[in-house]
Amino acid sequence: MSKKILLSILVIVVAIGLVGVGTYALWSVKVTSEDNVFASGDLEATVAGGPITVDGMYPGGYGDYTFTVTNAADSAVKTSGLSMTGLFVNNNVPGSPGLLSDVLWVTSVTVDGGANKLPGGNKICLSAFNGTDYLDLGAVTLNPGDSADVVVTIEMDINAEGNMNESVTGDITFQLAQ
Amino acid sequence: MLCVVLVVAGITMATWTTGVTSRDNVFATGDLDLIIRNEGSWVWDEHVHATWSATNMYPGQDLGMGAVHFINSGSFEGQSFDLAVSNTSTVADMDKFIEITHMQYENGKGHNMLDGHHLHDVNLNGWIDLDDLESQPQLALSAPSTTGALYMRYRFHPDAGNQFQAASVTADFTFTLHQ
Repeated sequence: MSKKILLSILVIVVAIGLVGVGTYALWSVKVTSEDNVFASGDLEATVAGGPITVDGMYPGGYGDYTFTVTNAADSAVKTSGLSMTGLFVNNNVPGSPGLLSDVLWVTSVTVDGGANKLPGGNKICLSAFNGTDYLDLGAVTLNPGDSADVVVTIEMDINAEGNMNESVTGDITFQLAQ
Repeated sequence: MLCVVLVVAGITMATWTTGVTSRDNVFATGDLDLIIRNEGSWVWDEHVHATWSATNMYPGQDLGMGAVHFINSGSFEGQSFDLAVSNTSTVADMDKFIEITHMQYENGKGHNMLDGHHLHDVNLNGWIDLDDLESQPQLALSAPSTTGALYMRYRFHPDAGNQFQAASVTADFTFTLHQ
């Protein structure tokens, strides 16, 4: 190996060494701010008043059913909105000409004695609820621990001709919104 | 034989020496010594806890301002300063909803970190958040001359959905001062 090659290798080795020295000569010091925790609360609700059982309904008969919706005391926030939906199943008598849920009308929904919340005041039959689309009950402000009474008036169509000894069962869901 | 021995001895005895010593030449290193404290605290340390924290957050809530203060108490000045964040979320992507609404780095001169030159909306959700900060560490900022501070105001973004109820993000902020 010639002297030139040896010299070149030596230069490269020295250069690498200098780079290494430069890198390791840089000092640094670290400090930390640890355990910065950003924790969310939650919104919890309870409903009292259900399940309701109505026996002996008849055409033209009606009843008021009260549900008490509460923003749980340990919720993080007050609410500003309330809505409801339902999903019902008919227990038909074989051969019956129609569904009972088509002739059971929700004629009024009020919150804490206020105005009827049905759009335009128009009645809605139970079969119109699909469990997904919610009926807006307006701006209901509930601080954690507060409650609102929702009164639902249900009436059997006076012109109902069948549906004797039938029933409808289902769930009514209330949704509180922040 | 005798003559040879005498000659050798003569040469040895004729060579005098003397020595002097420069003692205690000390080559001592200096140091970088960065310490921090939380706003409102007078305890300086290498670690602080819960500079920014919130409980029971709800969407849209402004969570206020928090700050850490720095001092380089070492023997020479630092040249550059890094800020890095590591997030751990109990629900995936929650750090994207901790919005940074104000961030100011003070090192003798004020630096608005939201001026469009430092932090960017990397995750393209429309705002600057802890996730953006984690993915783009702020490197090679000018070092605090002696003292410095980082101020951050933040909120739980209004678009945070129901999946983020009763969840949390834990963030560790690391500050590095370089020679």
